[in-house]
Amino acid sequence: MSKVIGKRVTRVEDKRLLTGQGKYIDDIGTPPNTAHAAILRSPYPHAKIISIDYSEALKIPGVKGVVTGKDVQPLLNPFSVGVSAPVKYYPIAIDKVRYVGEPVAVVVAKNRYIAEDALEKIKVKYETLEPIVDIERALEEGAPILHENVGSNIANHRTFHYGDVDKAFQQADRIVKHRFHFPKYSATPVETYGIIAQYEESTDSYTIHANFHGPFVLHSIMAGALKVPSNRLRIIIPKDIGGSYGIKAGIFPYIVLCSVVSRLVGCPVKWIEDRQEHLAASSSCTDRVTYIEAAVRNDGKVLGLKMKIMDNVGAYIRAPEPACLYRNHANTTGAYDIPNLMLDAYAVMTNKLPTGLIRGYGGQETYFPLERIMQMIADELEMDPADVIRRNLIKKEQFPYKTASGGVYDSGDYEKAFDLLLKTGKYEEFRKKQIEARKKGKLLGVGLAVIVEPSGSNMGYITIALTPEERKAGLPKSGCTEAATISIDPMGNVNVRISTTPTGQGHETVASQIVSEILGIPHDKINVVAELDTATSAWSIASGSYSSRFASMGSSAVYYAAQKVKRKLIKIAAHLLQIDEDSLTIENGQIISKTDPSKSISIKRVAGSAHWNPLSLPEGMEPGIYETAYYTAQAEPPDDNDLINSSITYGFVADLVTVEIDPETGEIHILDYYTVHDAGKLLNPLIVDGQILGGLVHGLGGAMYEELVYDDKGQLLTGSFMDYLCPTATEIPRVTIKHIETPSPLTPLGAKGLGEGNTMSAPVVIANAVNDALKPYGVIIDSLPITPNKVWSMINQSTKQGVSS
Amino acid sequence: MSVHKIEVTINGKKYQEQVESRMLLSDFLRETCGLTGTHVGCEHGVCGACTIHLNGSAVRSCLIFAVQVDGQEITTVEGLAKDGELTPLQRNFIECHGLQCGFCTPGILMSTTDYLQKNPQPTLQEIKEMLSGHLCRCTGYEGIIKAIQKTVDENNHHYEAERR
Amino acid sequence: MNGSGKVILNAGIEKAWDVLLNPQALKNCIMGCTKLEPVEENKYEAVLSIGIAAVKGKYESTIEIADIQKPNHYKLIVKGEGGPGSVEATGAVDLVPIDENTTELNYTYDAEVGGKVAMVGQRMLNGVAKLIIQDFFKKFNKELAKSEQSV
Repeated sequence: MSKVIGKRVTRVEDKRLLTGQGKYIDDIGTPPNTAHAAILRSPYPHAKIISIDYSEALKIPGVKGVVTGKDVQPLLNPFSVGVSAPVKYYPIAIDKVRYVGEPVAVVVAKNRYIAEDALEKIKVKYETLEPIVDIERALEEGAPILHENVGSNIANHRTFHYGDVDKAFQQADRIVKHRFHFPKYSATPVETYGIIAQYEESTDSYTIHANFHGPFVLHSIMAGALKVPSNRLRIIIPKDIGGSYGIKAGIFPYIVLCSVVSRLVGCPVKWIEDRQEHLAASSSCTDRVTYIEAAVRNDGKVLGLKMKIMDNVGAYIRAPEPACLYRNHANTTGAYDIPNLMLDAYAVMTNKLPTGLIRGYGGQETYFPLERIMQMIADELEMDPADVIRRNLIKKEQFPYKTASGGVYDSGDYEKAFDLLLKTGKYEEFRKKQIEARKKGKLLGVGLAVIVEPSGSNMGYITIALTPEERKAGLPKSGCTEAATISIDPMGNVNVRISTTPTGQGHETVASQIVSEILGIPHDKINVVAELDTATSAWSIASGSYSSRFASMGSSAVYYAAQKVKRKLIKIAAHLLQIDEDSLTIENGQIISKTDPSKSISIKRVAGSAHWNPLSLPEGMEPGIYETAYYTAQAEPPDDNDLINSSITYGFVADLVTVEIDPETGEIHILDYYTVHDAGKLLNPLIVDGQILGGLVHGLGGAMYEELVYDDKGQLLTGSFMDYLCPTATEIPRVTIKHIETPSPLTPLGAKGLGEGNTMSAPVVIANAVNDALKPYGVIIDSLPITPNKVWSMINQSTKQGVSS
Repeated sequence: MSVHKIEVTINGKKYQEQVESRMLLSDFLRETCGLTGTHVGCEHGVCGACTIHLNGSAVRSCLIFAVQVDGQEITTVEGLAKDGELTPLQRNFIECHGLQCGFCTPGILMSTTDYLQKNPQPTLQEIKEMLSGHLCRCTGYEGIIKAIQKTVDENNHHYEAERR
Repeated sequence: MNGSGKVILNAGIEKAWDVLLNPQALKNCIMGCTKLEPVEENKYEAVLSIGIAAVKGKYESTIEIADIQKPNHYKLIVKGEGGPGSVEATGAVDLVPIDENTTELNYTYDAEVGGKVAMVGQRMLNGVAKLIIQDFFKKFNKELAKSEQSV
């Protein structure tokens, strides 16, 4: 029976964070002789570096050294990446700059103030080249080429044919098609990147502290770049990270940069990124152009889909890209039963900031065209969008459901969740209100979106970027491994070590809940250690927090480690009490006989024996209590037909949004946002709702406010928070969250991951709502963000009647 | 760059330090005084993470120079809880899950504490407008708003109980 | 960013032309210009100190005068680079005589701004450009008056 897991337990992390005692990267102190770095960055999107003269910079008192690409190149390999295009990516420009903000030189000085003074004294001569930022134009003949040795701007290109797409399109009553554009935006954690890098010459090794959070496959990539064996690159992650939402995975080039700078300058180097650097040169999602075609029957059933996808990965394709294209590969058809799918997927390079993980990662880009086309199908067939959705939803009896591209949806009851949504959101009632409102000249709209939220990425999925023949030439990747270590010390106190490097999601609390329930100890007596040290923690390539994997993978590793500890404790207790193991159970800090409660022994005594009196242990048993569990779900590599189950568990999110639009100003007022979630078993409902709301506001930002805008000459125009607009408290709509739980059969606790769902769904559900409101004007919303001036222009340029007021 | 001697009281303690004229107050608090509870998120006055109290009023420490606070009184987030006893606002942040990564939290606590002292009974819209000077990317703001509303409600009951 | 405009100069066309191409006069009129020295025929090296939003700094620039059709038309090509970013601007100037003491000057300009100043000061750029131009012509009319006196 569940006593702690699933409860709204308040967080153990909170007290230190509320009293200013958090330990973020900039709080943890530095080795003696640490100096501070500032980075000179390219003002041009595309240019050759002719010369760099830093002689004046070196004269400033307090400057310890200046490093440029020429100094760095002999010490590094370019970063390896999972595509065959020979793109050479270094953490600093070598002979060319390819995006505004690309590092060109690094100054190391006594403090950041002096380092920034020195930046102004560095003279760089550039020869500007023609930039290219438009995704489709980058593919055209004659477009400027970023990487001469690649010969084109295509970093990766694959086509996939699942089912019988041609037949589906022949059998269709009509084809509904459109082009959609999804913008480039970020998630801008309030804490920026931070690194303390120290090179030790005597051992030719690097010790790094950084607010990096995985995936730890990037550790291998960093070691490869630094030309050191992996056990000579020690990365230590602090226990507090000020948010990330995927963006801090992109810190890895800077870790390598600061490492090699420390080596060249001869002292430890600390670098704390500032906000302008972050917006220009950290990481972001891809902007994407999608051409989608749906083969549709007149009753609303979609028989097949064709999608041509062009993802803009920025100036350099870097690991784990092109995962942006493939993270959602298994769930490309979303919540719908569509067995015929054609994908033509491009990763394209242009003179923009290189991309990486972000909350939603590929989901918002995938679902925008999909959920928009479903509404367009409804409009064309003159059906209610809710009916089109229902006609196509996967049915309860079909689970576990195999998708066209090889995904296996573990569990779900989509119709139940969708019905709950329509009921909670009073859909029918709103439709009636809408008709009345239109008569009065008011623009009310309602949008629907249903999406499948994947979690726990299968490490094999990235190899789908290679063809089956190319894959055969390399070693297969699989699994989604996570590890946890639980130990009991001589005084009987519990330490739990996790490798999921939390960035605010409350892993310490949830881990303590799980261990508390299994070992029968109060959760606040359990110490969860969230710091990760690649030299001493248990970790693997999939470790880290990304892809919402804690609830599915991280919690499972903790669960199994706790079970190992429980078994050992019971074994020892059975031996000490001289009774049968099977008759023992743990509760309230005691190991107690199920049948005779007088026979009991405290966990403290049992653990104590393992340390103080190991000779009292059962024959052959190791002293101490220290158990590590490595856990993976069955996550297989792609097969020769390119079928891949890219994630382990799949949740479901259904959204209903109502809006009112002011026809005079184009202002969009969100009246209500209803969302129904199915994330399997919820481990801590308090934390769950926080994650959902956070993800929703990230999605809201992408829908209406946030965009990294580049002009057609490649200049970044939104370089500060004055122009890059993040939603504040006054922008958030009224949100109603409802849950249903169809547990996952694949994880020991039945939990699926969550936290990215609404980031994937909010942009498209808001677009659908606005589109619905503007239906009298015949507009089609096919790009984001939706801003008042865009809406106003659409209304005023429309040739249709619109509404009279 | 000229260096100045300043004397400033922070959380009731006197600090006497030498600072360059251009040193930001946020850097002074964190690096010179070792009070790392105040966080830096943008250095251009938008995110609010650096908010502290200067002579009792909430201000952005990234937009002030250390020399400007010579002879003044500052309270940072470390100075809110007295003798390890959390304030009602801090306790309600725990109850209502008003923080996740915690990076924006100190600034929000400082702004809210100042605001509620001067406006003890704000409406929901007023709370949101007060918060609009702070960026939080984790919580979606709802937990924060709930924590503030709970604190306001508890204060109201407190006053009413005292009046009786 | 680009723009255009028209100004009345209080001098005849020949006089206006001469002062427009006088480097000392130009140095006095360009806001923030702390150095303007000829390096070649019709090419000058200049240092401009300008602040846009919070981004202040020095731009080491070259100013080239091209397409010279005395006294009616010339082009200005300005390339500047500094800590805050880079500017590349071309301007076309056309003079039309009104009477012996008045000339109409028509200008158009096209400017590419890059780097930090573009990232942070986008919304200010047009305003600052207008300000610099307005200030230039205000000071220029003063220069014209000064040179009138010295004759």
